[in-house]
Amino acid sequence: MERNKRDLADWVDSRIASLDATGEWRPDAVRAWAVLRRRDRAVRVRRAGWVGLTATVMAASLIVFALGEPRACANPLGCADDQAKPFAPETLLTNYRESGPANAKVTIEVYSDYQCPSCAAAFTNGIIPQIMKEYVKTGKVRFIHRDYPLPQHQYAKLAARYVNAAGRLGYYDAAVAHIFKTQTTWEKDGSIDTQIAKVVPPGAMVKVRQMVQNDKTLDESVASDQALGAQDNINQTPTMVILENGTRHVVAPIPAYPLLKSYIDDLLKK
Amino acid sequence: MDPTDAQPSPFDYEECFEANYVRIARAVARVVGDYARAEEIAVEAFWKLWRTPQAHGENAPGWLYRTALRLGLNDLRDRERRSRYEKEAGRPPETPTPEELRAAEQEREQVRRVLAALEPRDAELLLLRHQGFRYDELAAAVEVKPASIGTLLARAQQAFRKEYLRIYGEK
Repeated sequence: MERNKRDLADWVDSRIASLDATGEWRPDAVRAWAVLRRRDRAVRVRRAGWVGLTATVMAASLIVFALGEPRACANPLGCADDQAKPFAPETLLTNYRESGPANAKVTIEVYSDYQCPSCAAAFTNGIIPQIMKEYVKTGKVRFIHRDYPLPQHQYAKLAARYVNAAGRLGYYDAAVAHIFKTQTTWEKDGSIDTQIAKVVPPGAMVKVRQMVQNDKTLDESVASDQALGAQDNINQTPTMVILENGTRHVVAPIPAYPLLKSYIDDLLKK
Repeated sequence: MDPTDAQPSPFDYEECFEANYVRIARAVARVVGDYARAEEIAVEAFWKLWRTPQAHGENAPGWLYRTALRLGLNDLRDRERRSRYEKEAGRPPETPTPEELRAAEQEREQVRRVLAALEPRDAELLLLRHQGFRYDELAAAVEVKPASIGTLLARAQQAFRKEYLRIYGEK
């Protein structure tokens, strides 16, 4: 009886074992995680839309109500609700480093170091603005900017913290552009705060500084990019990784735009 | 992802993803025989986990396996119904001869067809057991009492053999 049960279990298991033919295939966890994040963002956007609509209706109701009622506050210095609202963490953006359609056939990731002169050249008047104009803004390609501060650059990590903190508040593009543009200024003395303050409004700048000083997730975000970069065997910046059909094509150094363009066009035509 | 509004517990979703995604995608690939579809299904299972806070906890891996395999089996059945299974299922591994390759492929097709015909829980139990789940893990995954797992597993094995022999005969 017992032997029959064992024989049956072995017989079934040997047949199911025939399915064990996945070989060296390795599922792409990075892409899967990106899909989950995109879905999560889409849900949040929809939810935010409803919350916004509800808030608008409520605000309109309150205005109507307030117009009919005298203000209860008699403090000549102003009432509590006239003061700056505390910062709401839920207003932080999470996808500020990504541009272009989530379902694009091709995704371009660029690893950069804010203190790297070649990165500054690529981002200010080089290849990146051309890609953004021709492929990302036209909806053909998705673009993700990744941080890869090199250890020999004293202020690169701090710059990444500031830029990402600004990004969470909606000032990412302006911060990236300005930090690369003024690289030769702040890299002498680390005056990144001064430069960021030129493109972020004062109220938001207070929050940026709070995040830079206290928010460890800013470093975690950079570390996450560096870990991914290590998987991609990054050894220089800027490095481009082009994702197409689940495959990561590492492109370093980044070639001249015409060559890169023909490569991207070929991938899009596949 | 920020889990604050989806789950009150300290469950680390990202850690769970990193620890289980590859294994689950590979487990699903065994069932559906299509790597791209396996990844889609694995992502779907993780998405369901994300949206199901009550599944967050130490049994989350078991819940994920069961959900992913169920999705994979459903996918297999849908393909059966659409009669597209024959041409879509499976990718042949590298085998030395065409005859061996064909035989291995045929065996996989047969096993998948039998799994698709079983009761979902029976198929899940067999696949999870083959995946290396212990009895207590199986019980948690399919939400039954640990004491009844042995009986349920034996029944699932009998059902598998019965269905296999019904379709393909004694070999």
